[in-house]
Amino acid sequence: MGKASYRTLKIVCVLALIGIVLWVAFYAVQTYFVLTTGSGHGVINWGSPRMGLKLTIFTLNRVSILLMAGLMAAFVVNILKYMSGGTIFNRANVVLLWVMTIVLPIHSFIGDNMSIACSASEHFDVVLTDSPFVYAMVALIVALLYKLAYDAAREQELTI
Amino acid sequence: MIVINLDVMMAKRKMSLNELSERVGITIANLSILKTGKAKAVRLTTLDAICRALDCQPGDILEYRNED
Repeated sequence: MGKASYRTLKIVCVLALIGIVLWVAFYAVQTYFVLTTGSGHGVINWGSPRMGLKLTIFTLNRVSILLMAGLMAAFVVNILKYMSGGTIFNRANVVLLWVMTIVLPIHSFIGDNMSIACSASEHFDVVLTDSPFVYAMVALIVALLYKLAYDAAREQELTI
Repeated sequence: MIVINLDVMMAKRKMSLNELSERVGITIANLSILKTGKAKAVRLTTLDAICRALDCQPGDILEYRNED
């Protein structure tokens, strides 16, 4: 790997890590306001019917955000770790991408249904958009391409 | 399957891994990968250098064994 590529990749990785931290920080602040504002649009309406279900959806949403952030951070850290060895492809990231392929559509589906958590009424509709499917397809393509590149890099490494 | 008989040739020529590594110009780690049969492929230039260092033919290093 060339020096310029190495530096560019390192900058991209650091920016990605900053982005992930900002993402989590934003949702941490938002969580505070959603839980403490009391009642209204886009916040938890305490005392409304089916609070258990609403809080469960809200908690699942925050957990899936943390999980995605953790997976992405681990992916970037792994790239930074292996980069000094001359490769950005490693087995740990192959596994992480497969896990993301499953977690990302679930995260998207829960996100689409956050209106349930913030609803004040007893009645609500489950929303199913194309987002989870699009996310799943994109994640699958990325995971497959990374796996192919990893296999090629491994083969190259074992060519003496 | 292809079997690498590098260790046999090295023993015949009484050459250590270290010496072969210096003569061929590849690392001991890579020579070990080759010697233990973990390599996926061998470059012709590497084979050429090994044959020159060990004064042998490619057939002395590479052997085909029928797995059946």
